[in-house]
Amino acid sequence: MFIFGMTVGVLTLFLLVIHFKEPSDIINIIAIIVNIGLAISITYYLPRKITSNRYVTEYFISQLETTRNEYDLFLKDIKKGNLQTQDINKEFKYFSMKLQDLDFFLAGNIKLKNVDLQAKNRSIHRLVTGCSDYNNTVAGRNVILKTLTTVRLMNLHMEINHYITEIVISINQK
Amino acid sequence: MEKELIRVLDFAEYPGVRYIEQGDDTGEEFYNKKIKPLFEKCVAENKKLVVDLDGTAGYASSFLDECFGNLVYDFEYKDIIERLEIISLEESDWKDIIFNETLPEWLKKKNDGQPRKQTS
Repeated sequence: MFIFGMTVGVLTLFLLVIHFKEPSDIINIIAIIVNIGLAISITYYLPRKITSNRYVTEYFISQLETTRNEYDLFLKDIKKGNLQTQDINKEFKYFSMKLQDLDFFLAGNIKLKNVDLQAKNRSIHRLVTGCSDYNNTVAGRNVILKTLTTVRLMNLHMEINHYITEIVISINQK
Repeated sequence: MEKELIRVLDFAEYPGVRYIEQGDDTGEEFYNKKIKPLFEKCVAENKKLVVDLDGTAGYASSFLDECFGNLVYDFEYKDIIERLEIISLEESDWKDIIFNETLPEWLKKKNDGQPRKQTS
């Protein structure tokens, strides 16, 4: 279809140029050139750009989903008292670096404004490692959070999950 | 201005919690053994103190709170702002948190007449 259209377009253009008689032919020539340009961009350029954008958005959505699942497991382990202070610090550092990187690319590549996943992670980090339950844990023992801290942690956990969902929706709307 | 450098990694690969009585390699210990003496030297010799946070296995926020917040009780606030420099490439937000939240919070605590060390 594209080849047929292009052949007809180029042939018409060729005939118009050869049999150029009056000024109105210029308008026809320009119209044909514009149409040829549009046909090329619709056939080649736009689908490639759309496909490439789709891959990028799918990549970031998958990254966000994976991170949310990992983070859920980590916070679940904290709430269950399965981790020691050093394990908790190490994991928070891992998530900080990962989320900083995601923030950077979501702002730069997806053009999301004011995205700050790391700030949400840091609030959770500061709640857990700033509380007396954590700081009074004897070395070598698991950190057991008191109910009050656990409830605050659950609220912040819900907040970051809600925030990730909002980001996924925003990416899909781009 | 000349600089003195401290790497937390040289103090501990796994920095601990807040107070000395709570465990090993704590923020309070790091402050007393490393930051305070070197900051005193920096003030006396008109130098900057650079603290490099990178390379450790992560921090408890209480460690950083204790090791930087204490400066407020021992030195002039303007000296701290002028002479303290923090390197944190791995977790870059620590720098903002320390300068924009930790130090002002400790200053408020000091100005409110609260003791530097709180019993938990």
